[in-house]
Amino acid sequence: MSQITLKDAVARAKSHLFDLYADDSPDQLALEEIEHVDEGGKSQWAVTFGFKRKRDISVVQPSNNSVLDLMRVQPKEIEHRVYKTILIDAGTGDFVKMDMRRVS
Amino acid sequence: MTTSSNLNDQLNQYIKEYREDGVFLDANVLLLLLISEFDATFIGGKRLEKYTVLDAQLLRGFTGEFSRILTSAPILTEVSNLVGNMLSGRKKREFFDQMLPIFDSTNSASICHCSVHGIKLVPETFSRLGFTDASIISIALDKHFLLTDDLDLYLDAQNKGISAINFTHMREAADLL
Repeated sequence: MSQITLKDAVARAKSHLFDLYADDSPDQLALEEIEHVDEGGKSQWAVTFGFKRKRDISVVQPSNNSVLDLMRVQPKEIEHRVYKTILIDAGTGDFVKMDMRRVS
Repeated sequence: MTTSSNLNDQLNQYIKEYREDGVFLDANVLLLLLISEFDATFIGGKRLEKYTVLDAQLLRGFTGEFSRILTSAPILTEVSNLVGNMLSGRKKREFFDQMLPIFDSTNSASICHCSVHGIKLVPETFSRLGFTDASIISIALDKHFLLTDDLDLYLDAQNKGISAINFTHMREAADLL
């Protein structure tokens, strides 16, 4: 079976990433890692991107207790870098899945 | 995350700062370098699927800016095992014959074996990334510059204040990906 090029796999992975995050466009996107994997006898490219997202972390409902309200975390947004791995079929170029890449 | 111009500045800074000390390569990157010197037709094949000859040229050009390559016994063991899986027969023997001075524990001017004897592993790194990567981190903490394409290793190095570059960033900046 003919294989797509690595550069093509990266381009397809990036396109899928933007599609999946169309409502929250990735900021400061970088290509972080590429691996060739065989899963269930299928040859795939695992393309990992890192980017920044904004995420709401809490919503505070006002109470009647002003002291408690002061102690609660106020709603805010934190910027954090996330890593996502997109798996692309190395033969067909089809999107297989997206995984969260856990890093610490 | 680094932009292309930031990365360029960073690379130039590291070349200036670590030219004499050398560049510490992790197993994947060292494997690419050695195979490119041995027989570049193997690039893109088994164990080196993700690279092209242009990546090897980029790597050779960059590492050529440093006086020597830094390595260690765990890294060389990994490289040896990877080569054992990708080459066979006469080619395998030729590779090891040609690369013996790299693996030999006698340091030459262009290669330096960093000892793992007496190093103290960072427990959290060891439990998460294993012995080879933990030993790389411990050695690199002694003010060495690390080049890797392993994201976990790269991020761990960055978090510990180690001078490190992700080779994938270089490839992307060079428009090879």
